Amino acid sequence: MTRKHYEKFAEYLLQGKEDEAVELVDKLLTLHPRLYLFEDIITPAMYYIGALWEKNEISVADEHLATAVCDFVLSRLDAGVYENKFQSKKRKKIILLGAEEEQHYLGLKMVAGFYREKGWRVRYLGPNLPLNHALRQIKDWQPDVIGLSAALSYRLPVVKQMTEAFSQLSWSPGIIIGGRIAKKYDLSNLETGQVRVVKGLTELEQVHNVWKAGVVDETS
Amino acid sequence: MKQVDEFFSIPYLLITKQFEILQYTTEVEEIFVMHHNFLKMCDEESVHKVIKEVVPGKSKNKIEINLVPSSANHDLLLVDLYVNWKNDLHAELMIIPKDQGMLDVTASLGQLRSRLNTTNFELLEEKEKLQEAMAENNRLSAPFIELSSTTALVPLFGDLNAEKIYAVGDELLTSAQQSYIETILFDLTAVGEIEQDGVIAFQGVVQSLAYMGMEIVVIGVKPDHAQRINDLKLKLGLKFLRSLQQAIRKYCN
Ligand code: B12
Repeated sequence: MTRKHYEKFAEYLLQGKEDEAVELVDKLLTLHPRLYLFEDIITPAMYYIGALWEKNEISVADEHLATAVCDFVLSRLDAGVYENKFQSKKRKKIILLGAEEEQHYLGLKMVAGFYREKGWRVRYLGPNLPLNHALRQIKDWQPDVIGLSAALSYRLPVVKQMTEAFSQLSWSPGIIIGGRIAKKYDLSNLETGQVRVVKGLTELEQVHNVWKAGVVDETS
Repeated sequence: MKQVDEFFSIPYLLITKQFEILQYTTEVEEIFVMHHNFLKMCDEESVHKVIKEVVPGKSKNKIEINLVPSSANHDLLLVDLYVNWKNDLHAELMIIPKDQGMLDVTASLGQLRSRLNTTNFELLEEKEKLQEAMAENNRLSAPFIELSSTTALVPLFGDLNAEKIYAVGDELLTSAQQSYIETILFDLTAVGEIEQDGVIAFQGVVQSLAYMGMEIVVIGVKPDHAQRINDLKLKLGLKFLRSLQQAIRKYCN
């Protein structure tokens, strides 16, 4: 059932059918939470597209089209989430960015949606951010948490470098590393009390539930 | 392996079934990092594709793969690989790097996207400022005025909706807690519309104040508010007075 859904969704993406893609998502949204759509439909659909490329059935040009449509669907999913219900109360802040040179940003965008829904203030800086740029924005805004994403294996050194730089910030923000790189490689050597490696949104949700339960103090 | 010159000036290779390189042109060396085995020249995540697609069974084939470039400018180079099996043991490979034009378009798309993103960003920033201003406005529309050591006046302004009550609620409760106030006069004279969700939220605040032992008096109820507010009167045992003057006379002596 689900298998069919994400394959269907992937098909719409590859054919550039954004209306159909949105319609499918809207339909599924009446039955499932957004997290399910991110984690069990959209992400598998993109991975499936990657598999089609490996089978020589599509080209990177097709992936570009699929990415654009997927991006559109994600933006639509985001609309109307950050509403007044989060007023006045002091809201937590997160800054999200991709490693320098990185062009894969769909996952990062989902993480932005994830946090907006939680009522956080989100600054999504996009991928491919040089470290000094990133640091300037981060120092300006002083987020509680910094989320870093990377897909390519070649980003490992940059990710390490960025993590070290962020760890030195005076107010010790939490640092979360995610993306394909976190799924494929063992990055546990980067983890400290301040740094977490998170493999997907389901795990991210778990991390937050633990935080909420007070096992870890997210502001410390 | 042997370097050959008598060929087109494009990256060209002759390989065995096991991907050992027998011949290659200078262009291969110029653009990519050379190895004895072709698989070692490929990005690790293209290897699988090459193994499945570069097989004698597919005598002519074209696939897209990523190769490791010699220049440090890029991590990977996306190329079209043309495969031609001369016999069951040897294949010719021709490598055509993707058109620079396409890469340029990709780059400028990326730039456009980040510009859109900054615009979004600024809009969001403005929106948040606006929201904060609205919240501030809401807070100001219910000041807590201490008339005497035991009586406070809270005049409400504008429409009575849930948002406004939520905005003032917390402050009201803290102000009430921090003083010796026993009676709170809610003045509704300047209230416009009363919305249903506003009444519910108002009820919540009044209830909390009542639990804290406050006496709640409502003043200035207009005829068209009367019905909605009357429900509260029954539920919460509120006191009503017609005017502020009356209230002051009664409570501030
Ligand atoms: C679509 C795609 C593209 C799109 C980009 C899409 C985009 N803008 O995001 C385009 C066409 C632009 C592209 C370009 C390239 N790609 Co590409 N791409 C893919 C593909 C098919 C899918 C990626 C995707 O969208 N996944 C969906 C997202 C949602 O998944 P995700 O990123 O893992 O995110 C999830 C989690 O990781 C998590 N997450 C992500 N970030 C974060 C951050 C935090 C803080 C947290 C908590 C969680 C989190 O949230 C998500 C939901 O769980 C993959 C194949 C694959 N199997 O992954 C190849 C792939 C990643 N690409 C690859 C390559 C090589 C490239 C290129 C270099 C060349 C090319 N075109 O082939 C360029 C890279 C340019 C660059 N400098 O970065 C390789 C990488 C190989 C390697 N050695 O690492 C892959 C694996 C394909 C392959 N088999 O060769 N690509």
